[in-house]
Amino acid sequence: MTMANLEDTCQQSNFRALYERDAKALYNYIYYKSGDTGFSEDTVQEAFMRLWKNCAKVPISKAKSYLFTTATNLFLDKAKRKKIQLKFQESKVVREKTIQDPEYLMQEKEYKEKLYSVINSLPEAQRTAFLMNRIDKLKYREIADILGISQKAVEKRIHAALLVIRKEIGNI
Amino acid sequence: MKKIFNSDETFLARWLNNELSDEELATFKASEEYAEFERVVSSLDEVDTPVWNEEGVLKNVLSESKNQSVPKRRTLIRFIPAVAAVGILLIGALFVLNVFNDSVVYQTQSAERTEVKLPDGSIVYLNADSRIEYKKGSFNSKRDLQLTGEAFFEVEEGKPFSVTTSEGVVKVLGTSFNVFARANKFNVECYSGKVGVSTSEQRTEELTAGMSVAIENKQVKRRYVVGSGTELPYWRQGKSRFSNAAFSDVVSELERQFNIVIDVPQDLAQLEGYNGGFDHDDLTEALTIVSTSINCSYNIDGDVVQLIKN
Repeated sequence: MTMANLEDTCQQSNFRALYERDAKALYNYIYYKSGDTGFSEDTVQEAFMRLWKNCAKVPISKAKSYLFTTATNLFLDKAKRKKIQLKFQESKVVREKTIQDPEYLMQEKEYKEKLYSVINSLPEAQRTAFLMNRIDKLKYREIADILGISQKAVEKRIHAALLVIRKEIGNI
Repeated sequence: MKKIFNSDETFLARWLNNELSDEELATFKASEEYAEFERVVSSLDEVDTPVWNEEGVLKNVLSESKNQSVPKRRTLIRFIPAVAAVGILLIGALFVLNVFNDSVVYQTQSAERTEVKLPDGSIVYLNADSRIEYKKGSFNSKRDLQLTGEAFFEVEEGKPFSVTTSEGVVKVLGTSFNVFARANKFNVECYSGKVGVSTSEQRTEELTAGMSVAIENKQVKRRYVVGSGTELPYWRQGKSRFSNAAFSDVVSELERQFNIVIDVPQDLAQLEGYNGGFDHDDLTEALTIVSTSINCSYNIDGDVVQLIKN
């Protein structure tokens, strides 16, 4: 095996590693934009299929940006203008916390429902940047590269998103 | 007082990234809004996006020949992980074929789940302590079956398909849906396509994907939206979830899923408004979660569990 193989997207082990690294974040990215689980899954599949087909032309170092650009385009092609309904589920961590009295759980549940509905009503650009940072833990720099905007612009979107959420939730 | 987070348009982003100076942070923490920002952020640390079929998609991608450009439709493969999770428990359901009246019966016991393929290719996933019955000879011409208990259906397209329960009937063409029919409760959740629900006292009500209806004593009690981004009912994901439920329903479900009998203190038997749930893979964990939430401890003796108030 030569050194060049490390950059070869057509090598199945490389491709698999790439998938493991980027698939979830790509799925979530489209999910934040569309709020549609089926569409998000189809888009991840289509983006990776196109990458696989064009693997000879796209080196590993360019693969991530290729995937996100392809997915963004697929989203823009098919995006239906509709009210989005993001659904989240409790992560594993929460399980410990379910051992609480029912009253507390109710309040917690109402708070979360309100939180999700405010997030749903955020402008798409703010919501996507904010959730990529908060849920996928992507760095501002990485989000900027994916979205093709400056890091400063990412910070502004995230700031604005959190500001609005706090204000809206404060109203209950 | 002027709030710095209203004037500096990246302030909150810098806070999230631990980039504030000590002085900025101290001022921010002293503000009355600080706790609210903190709560938003910590709440989001506890959520995740929907589970999806990550492995199946990769398989589809890799199996696709490089010359083809048509993406493979998402298929039943997406259900396989959930089935596998339950799979271990698929102990043979009781299968009875009565030669005289041509009826086929599948019945699961407590702590048993199974999967039944019908003559038309439709699939029924039977939850614990549930039963279906149909006529073998006429099934392909008249797709009709009887259900007691709970089952999830994936119906092949074709002639009308109906599920009859003691409380009402569900009619569909091709779709996936869940039916819960126990005692006087009749809940129908539609996961794809369309289904029609009727009771002897209620004319047909049409449900589209994502919609559900809970019927009690043949009257609609509430309507709700299913799932948390999944396309399977909770029990098919190996868990039970309750929202604003009677505690007695929670106890019955625990008994069914783990094949145990639960002894509940008198005054707790009437408890309402229960929120929460348990997973089906670990009895002690499930009992701990449920008993702690109502301020009880428990004692296991063989297959009898006693709840004891603290």
